[in-house]
Amino acid sequence: MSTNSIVEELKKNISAFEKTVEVEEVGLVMEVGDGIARLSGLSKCQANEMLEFPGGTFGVALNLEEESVGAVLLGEFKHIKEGDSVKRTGRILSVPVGEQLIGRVVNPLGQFIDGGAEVKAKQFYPIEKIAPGVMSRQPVSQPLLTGIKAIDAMIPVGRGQRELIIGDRQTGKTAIAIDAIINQKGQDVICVYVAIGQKESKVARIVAKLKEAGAMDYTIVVVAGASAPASLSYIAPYSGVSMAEYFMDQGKDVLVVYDDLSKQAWAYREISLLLRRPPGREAYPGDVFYLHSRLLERACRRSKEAGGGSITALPIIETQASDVTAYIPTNVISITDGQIFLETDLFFRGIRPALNVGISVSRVGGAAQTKPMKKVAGKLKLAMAQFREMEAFAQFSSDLDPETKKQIELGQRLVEILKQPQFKPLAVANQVAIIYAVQNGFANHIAPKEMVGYEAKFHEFMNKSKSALLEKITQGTWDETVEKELKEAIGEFNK
Amino acid sequence: MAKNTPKQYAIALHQIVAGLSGKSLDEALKQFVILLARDHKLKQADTIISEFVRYSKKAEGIAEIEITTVGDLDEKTINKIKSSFGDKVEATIKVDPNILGGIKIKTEDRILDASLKTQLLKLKESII
Repeated sequence: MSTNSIVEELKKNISAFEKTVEVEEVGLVMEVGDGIARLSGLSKCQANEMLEFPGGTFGVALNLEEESVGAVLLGEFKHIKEGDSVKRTGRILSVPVGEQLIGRVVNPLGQFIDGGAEVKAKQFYPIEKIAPGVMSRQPVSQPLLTGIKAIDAMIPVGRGQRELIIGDRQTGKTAIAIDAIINQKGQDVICVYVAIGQKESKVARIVAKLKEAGAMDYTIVVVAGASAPASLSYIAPYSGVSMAEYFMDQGKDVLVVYDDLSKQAWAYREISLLLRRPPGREAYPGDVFYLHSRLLERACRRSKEAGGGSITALPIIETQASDVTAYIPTNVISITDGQIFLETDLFFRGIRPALNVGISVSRVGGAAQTKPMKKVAGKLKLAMAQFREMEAFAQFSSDLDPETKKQIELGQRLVEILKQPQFKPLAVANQVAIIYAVQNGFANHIAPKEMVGYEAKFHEFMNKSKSALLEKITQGTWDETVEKELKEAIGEFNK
Repeated sequence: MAKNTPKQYAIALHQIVAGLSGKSLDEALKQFVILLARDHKLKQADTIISEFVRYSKKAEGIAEIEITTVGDLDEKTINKIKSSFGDKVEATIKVDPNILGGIKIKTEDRILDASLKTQLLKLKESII
């Protein structure tokens, strides 16, 4: 390119440039501190509008009052002082969305924080959006397999469902969600993992694990770390779901994990108290229910006419000393379509995942189960319920009648096969096969303690020599021939 | 009851003293100060006064503008700018070489930015 052509192009660019007078609306900072600012002026400011502070810091207008505007600051605020001018941007808080986010770690504003290349976004979505209405939805009909036997069989999750994972600290809540993400490999599901108020080290570990399992190829990680301001923790789930909505609009299925919403509620409580909104129960503001309900309503299965696609939500709530009657747990339990309860004592008894199958429920997922799974799961639930009733008698085994003894032993075996190590999701056909085998007494010659070894060998055998049968079960066929073939296969293995 | 803001006191004062003069004005002011003392608002007297000034100007239809330029403007230009903002305009002139050229006019909570600096920045954005 010669100098002349450069000059020509520049001239063209400059002549195309129109001189316009920039009209800005500005206000002044009256007070600032603790991540919030009170501003005067800005009389035309909208709710949830982004405001530009000096030094490139952004804020969000949350309180519009008679004389002032209360805003939260999204980021560093040390350099902001009284009397600084604040500009309106005219934009509602929005985040970049699109394919470029897949495989990346971003903060709640959609900025990359994994040190990778910057990619410019073509599209932005507002973080607050009204959830799809009644007419654009359809019932949950497709399963979202977590690869965890106990969940896929007894507490099935469907695409578009909201299933709460609740339990004390250190009970394996995150592990279930991560396993579910890993199991979406090859299922054409995009995953969004939103870490709220988590230790950065834990997030780093999770990202490393997802990379190792090849799950980062279809996953976006949104992080508001423990050191991030409360405002970022507060908006993190909304930006996560906005990124998910982009993919739903493409007709895809998305899985969003919010880890965890109790920390988000804390962040919102902090902001609300600083903005001097009146505190209510447990010092949460009055609209803390709406905080979660409007978020979880955005998870849905959209009808074909409305464009299809779905967002499945797995919110996580951490309880204190198993108290599910606290404010936030009861709120979220009532919003979601079921819950997975994890218990500390089960965890320490070695039952991992530490699911309490008695009080865990899935209100809509049953409709999405495949036929073979439905057949096996019905019996499984019954057997587990009976076992729980009789478990107390298990220690008097010598005095029991043979029928009861049989049932207790079956229950013990079932408990053993429902145990599953972390990061080892199991295909649904294998789940059906092993549960079927144990239920129908094919494993009665194995002591409960040895079930683990038996199961491992069983899956190995099935995958190696009965893959055609497994394929049939995966397709959802279940009739007498399949059942007969399965029986024969198990018999063959037992020899 | 919510606490009254300085602006509310200023508006109240404006309404009371409107049309008063001489002794009755003195009495009204005295009563107002007593009221402030009772409400423990004497500390905020400065804010109330500035609010009062702003409010009364607004009530009389006087617009306040702040013009930022690089050098001094001549009387004609200033008058021309003033007239585009209404009949009664009070202008303060600020000199700031940082804007490179052109002018920047600040009204109540808006800034009309026709400075060279902003134009150049915008040109940079449109080229890159």
